[in-house]
Amino acid sequence: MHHQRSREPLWWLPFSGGMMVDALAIPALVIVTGLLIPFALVNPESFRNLLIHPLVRAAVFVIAALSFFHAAHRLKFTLIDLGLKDAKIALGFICYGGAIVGTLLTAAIALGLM
Amino acid sequence: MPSYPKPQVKQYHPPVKATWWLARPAYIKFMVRELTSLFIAGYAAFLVVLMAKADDVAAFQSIMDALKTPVSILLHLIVLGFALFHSITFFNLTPRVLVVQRGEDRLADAAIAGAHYAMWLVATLVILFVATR
Amino acid sequence: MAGNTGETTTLEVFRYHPEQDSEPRYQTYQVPYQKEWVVLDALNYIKNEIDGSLTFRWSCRMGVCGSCGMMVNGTPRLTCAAFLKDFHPQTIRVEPLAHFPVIRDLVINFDDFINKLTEAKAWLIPKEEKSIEQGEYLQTPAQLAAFKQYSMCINCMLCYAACPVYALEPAFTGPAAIALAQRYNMDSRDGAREERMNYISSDEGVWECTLVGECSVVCPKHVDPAGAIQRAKLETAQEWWQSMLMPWARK
Repeated sequence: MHHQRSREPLWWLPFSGGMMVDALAIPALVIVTGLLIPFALVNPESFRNLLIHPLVRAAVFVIAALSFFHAAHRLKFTLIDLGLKDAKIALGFICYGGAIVGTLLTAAIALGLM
Repeated sequence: MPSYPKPQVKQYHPPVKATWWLARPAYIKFMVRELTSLFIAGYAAFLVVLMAKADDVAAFQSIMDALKTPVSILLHLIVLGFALFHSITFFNLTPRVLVVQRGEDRLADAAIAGAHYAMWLVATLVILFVATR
Repeated sequence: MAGNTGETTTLEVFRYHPEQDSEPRYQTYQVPYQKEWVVLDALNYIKNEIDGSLTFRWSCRMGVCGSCGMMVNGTPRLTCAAFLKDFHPQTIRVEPLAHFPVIRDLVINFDDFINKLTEAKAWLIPKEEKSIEQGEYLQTPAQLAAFKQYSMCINCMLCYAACPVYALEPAFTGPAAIALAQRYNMDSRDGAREERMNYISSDEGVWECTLVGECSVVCPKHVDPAGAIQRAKLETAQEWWQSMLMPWARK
């Protein structure tokens, strides 16, 4: 029987990238916005300037885009596992489509277009 | 090889429930692990909003004020819990995926996972340093 | 008799005789509680002394043949390795291995698994055929170490019983078939990696797996099929991206 290799690696690469980037960066960022800012250990004005800096914008774009694809991939498979396996293709469109839209919006924001 | 018709037996097909994941603690833990990705993506979306409002001093300041509320801190702590769960489960899995063979032996699990934890420490320190500058 | 406590323990056993039952039922038995007994001993006691109609598979009774896999209190176990003393005085519920059709009582139809082993070509296909005169296929200890863990699989199918993806999607190649495909892919003597990778990296192969990980938890031989699957995902994803980004580079 002839077997065709799946196209899944297309989505699996950003999924893995998101897994790694989320694991490395998210906890520290949550500490910054969740604890350091409220307890005045971060200067809000310098934080605002950081978010204008191109390198920081690029980093936020990468983190956000990969996080969106990571969550989309997991959400698709979780919904399939919860019994929606017949809707696999539709779920793919919705989940990855959402991640693509999120990524494009993030890019537009990072480039100052929005 | 003898050829004979397979016996016609009415086999029992056990049904699969949609609530299968509630049957074992390991399955529940799996579902929670999967759902952490949604919280993390939600937080990432929040960072994008922050980035979007960075040009508007007044809007940014009102977000900064909102971050000081107990609701915000609580939400952040929940996301932090999920993010830590994600990080730790992932780093602990890495030795089973990245198998490095040295002769007959493998590079120790602790070395592979340890390298990831070390990267995590460096990334955390860099982020905290840059943010508090 | 050593280990004879004089007590009895209770087994609640799944029964299904299709010629008379339209639905399965459970039957309760009292067996002697012997401290060294395993669930398989209790089942054999039932068959020998109480109810000869109870049907179940077993063979080596020492954890190497893979025949006696059943659900013991909801967990896939080799019944020859599940000690009564770990359950007593609680009732022990014995059911056929999950996620497979049931032929009779505790006997399941595992044709699907055998078909998958066949599709996965879970046997050695040498890179270069050697005649007897040419001698053995030589392998260093390091080359053996590369795949040895996956060669420990006894085809007991406990991993399939633990896998919720297989429960929901029977077309999923599944943990053991993928681990065994990798066992041969990583064998230095083998030459059929390309075909096996086509099979295990199809849509129903490794990509169905969501790394629940229970397969590796229940495996009695520490094969770690979950690890084998994740490694296969990584390898196959690298190959896919390479073929997309550098289509001119052929292996």
